[in-house]
Amino acid sequence: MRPVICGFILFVCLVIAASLSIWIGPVDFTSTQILEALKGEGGAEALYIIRHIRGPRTVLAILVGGGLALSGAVFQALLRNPLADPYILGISSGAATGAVLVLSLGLAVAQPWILPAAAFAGSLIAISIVLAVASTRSQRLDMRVLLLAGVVTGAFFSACISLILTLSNTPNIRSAVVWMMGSLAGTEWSTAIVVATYTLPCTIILIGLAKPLNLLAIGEETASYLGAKVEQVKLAAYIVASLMTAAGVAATGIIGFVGLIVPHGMRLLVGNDYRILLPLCFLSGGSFLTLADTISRILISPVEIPVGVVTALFGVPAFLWLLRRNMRTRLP
Amino acid sequence: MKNTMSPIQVSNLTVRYHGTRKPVLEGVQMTVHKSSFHTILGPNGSGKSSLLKTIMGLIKPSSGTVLINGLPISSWTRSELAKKVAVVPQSETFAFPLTVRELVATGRYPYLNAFQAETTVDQRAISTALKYCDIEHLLNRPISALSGGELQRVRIARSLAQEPSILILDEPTANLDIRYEMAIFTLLKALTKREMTVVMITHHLNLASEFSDHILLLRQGQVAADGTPQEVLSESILGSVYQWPIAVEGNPETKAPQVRPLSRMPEAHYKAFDNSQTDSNE
Repeated sequence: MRPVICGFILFVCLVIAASLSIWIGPVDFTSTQILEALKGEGGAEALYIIRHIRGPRTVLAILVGGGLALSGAVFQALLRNPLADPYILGISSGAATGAVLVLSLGLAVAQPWILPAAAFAGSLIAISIVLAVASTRSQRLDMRVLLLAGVVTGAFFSACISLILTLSNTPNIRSAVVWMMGSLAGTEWSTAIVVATYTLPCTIILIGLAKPLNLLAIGEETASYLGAKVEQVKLAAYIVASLMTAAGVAATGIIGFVGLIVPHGMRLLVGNDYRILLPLCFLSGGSFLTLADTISRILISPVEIPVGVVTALFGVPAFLWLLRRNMRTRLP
Repeated sequence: MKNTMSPIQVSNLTVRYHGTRKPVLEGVQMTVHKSSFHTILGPNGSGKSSLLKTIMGLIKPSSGTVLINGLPISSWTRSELAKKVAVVPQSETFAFPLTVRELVATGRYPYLNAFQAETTVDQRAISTALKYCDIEHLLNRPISALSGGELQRVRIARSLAQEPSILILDEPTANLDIRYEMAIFTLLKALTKREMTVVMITHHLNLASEFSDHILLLRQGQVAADGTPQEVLSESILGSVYQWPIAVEGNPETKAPQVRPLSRMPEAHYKAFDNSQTDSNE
């Protein structure tokens, strides 16, 4: 399909998903009420729920979903592995550990930027461990070792989260379940704005690296011969993709498989050119998480299930299918 | 710039990897002439691929210099270098099933900005490359659906799409049958007639003899012989470099030296052969 048409359709999907997310909830509103509330008119209840509860929640879902999908696609090129995803590689768990640590120490109250910064540090530690384990003497990454190292590193950091939360006496910290399965409940505008200030510049930088990422997906040696500054691009892409993941995780906890399902769906739709793939991943990742969040609110309403449960219910079968297919077909 | 300037000039090149006592390359001299077919031969582990990576600036030499079109390799940016020198590496493992068109189009990347669309110049370079390599019919095929010979021609087409003046290939005909092997050697020879300089690493002594203007023979990181096929492919030189008795005869058709390893190794060779095994691992 032509990329421009595809982009337009995905943008329409995003608008529909955002509308559903604002429209659907425990309190029913008519479309007139919603439109009035968005304009800042109408009843106080509608105004508050639409503008201060569902509004920021929808915006955060778009930012975090888009960011996770985009960084998943970037890690897939860097690691030359279609199964890479910030959750499976343990990066999200590392980020959540950093966030939980500063929250339990009460450090994030004074300075709001400390939370994403600590999550970023955690994510870098996690990716460093995974890369150190999986890189062999010949500098090539074994796919199975990489995935195994990522999953085990993720398990270790999840244990750290539980330990920190058990030891901590700080009130008002979200529970371990919320950190490990992710949730968008209770999002405030301040959170959405902090995430936006990280996610949007990171998105622009990563999309700007699309051309060298195409070459890196073929191989580092070839990428050098075709004019890419391999080491600079790799370093920049690892850091920026980790930062974007960390900013999302610090706000929502660990939401898995978005970075796996969305890029794969886009690859089936438009192919593997990162110049097209990355912008579309951001658009459809936003739609995907917004819809997943809406489902998490209505599936067993009025109880809300963590959104990570919904993404895992879709993501695990997709992962297993991809794993089986990758083990069977050999690319040259 | 003088017209006679050598496209690749390697002087006194020594490369030492960390923690190895023996250098991978030692005092290598190599002069590649414009529009020539230059072949690098040598046993496994003799440093052929290391020489290629050092020429291309991926390995920093301990001493010595590499000049590309008269300029030190360190003074080239990667994208400027990619417009002059194209490389077909020994092997690539692909993570995603690109189409043939997409893979060949990456050869134009050095000429394009981040989101610049292909111009008619780019499209012409791509279609010319596809035509030279006889793969126009494979255009929309995913690379996962290609045979070994087809994939090899696609990778060569990508390097031709770069419109380089120097083309370097690392064992491009390994695992190919006679027909594709001959097709690739013939194509490369034809390119040298169009002012392209071709440098090829190969194990195929007889085709090297037929097609090369110049041969560099490496042994354990050092130049064992350097000259025309007639000068390099002698029984005494090859016998000592490959540690196997070899007969050299003239091809009745082309007069080029033809190499024939003897089917039995004489008793006297065994000892030398055993000694050389220990340090020839790649």
